Amino acid sequence: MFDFLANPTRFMRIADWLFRPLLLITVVTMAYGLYLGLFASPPDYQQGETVRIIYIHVPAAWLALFGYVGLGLCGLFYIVWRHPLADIAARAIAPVGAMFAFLTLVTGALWGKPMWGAWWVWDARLTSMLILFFFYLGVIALANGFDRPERGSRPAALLALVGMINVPIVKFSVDWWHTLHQPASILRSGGPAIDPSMLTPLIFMLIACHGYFALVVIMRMRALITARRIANIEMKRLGNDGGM
Amino acid sequence: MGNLFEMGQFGGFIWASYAIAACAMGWMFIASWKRANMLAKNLARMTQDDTTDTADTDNNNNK
Repeated sequence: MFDFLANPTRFMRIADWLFRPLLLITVVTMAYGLYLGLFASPPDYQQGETVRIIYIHVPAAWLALFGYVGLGLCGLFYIVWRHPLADIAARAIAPVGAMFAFLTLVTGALWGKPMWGAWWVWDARLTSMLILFFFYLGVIALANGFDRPERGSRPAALLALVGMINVPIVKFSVDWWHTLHQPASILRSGGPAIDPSMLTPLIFMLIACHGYFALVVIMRMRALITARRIANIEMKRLGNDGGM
Repeated sequence: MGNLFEMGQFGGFIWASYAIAACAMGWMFIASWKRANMLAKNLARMTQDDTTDTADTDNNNNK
């Protein structure tokens, strides 16, 4: 399966075929999720209207974690099999994941101020998410910090793998330590603890944000593959000119 | 309409969250789209140039 998808030309063909249906699903679910989240769902009995922030905060947090798992897997594939598509995927995922980690922190602060009375607390969940954001920045910096981009691939892949240690810490921090952040309310034993009127918009926003993530990663991977093809053509031209 | 923006005096926090998310996600989407299209056009032009160069060389060789 991996070998089948790991061919850049085949990947481009599959990506082209997937793009339009994925765009349609993302736009429709995003529009409906926003309508439900901002207008149709009721305010929470404790949080009041601020509960509406969770419809963007929770999907952003899931994607920050999901993106990092993808980044770590790409790092593993690159280190073990040295496949260039794994490097391309990692380079495409990192900025998108970093953006979602940033959005998680910002929307969390905007929720925390009215609810906790503070923009930021050094809580285990918040701190581990901040560390995840720094890991993303580190991977981006390492991947792009060399004259020849391929030199940064291995150190970036190694850092991505090291950062995987932080993923379960982010996820289970609310169970392992006494935190101000509330415990898991969707993926937990006993089923979701959220009322269906609030769970529905959240699910739509989760689908929409996953679709958005896939779309942007596909576009960025296409751009990176094309950039490498351009670089190869330029190298060949230089070689031909040099040979004359 | 006023209630919609106020959202029980928390409108500033709620709308700011969505506005920041929309700006970041919109910017990332448009930037990725533009870059992919620009590079695809560059590659198409370079491939066309190569084909033209090869055809010119063949014509010159035939002469």
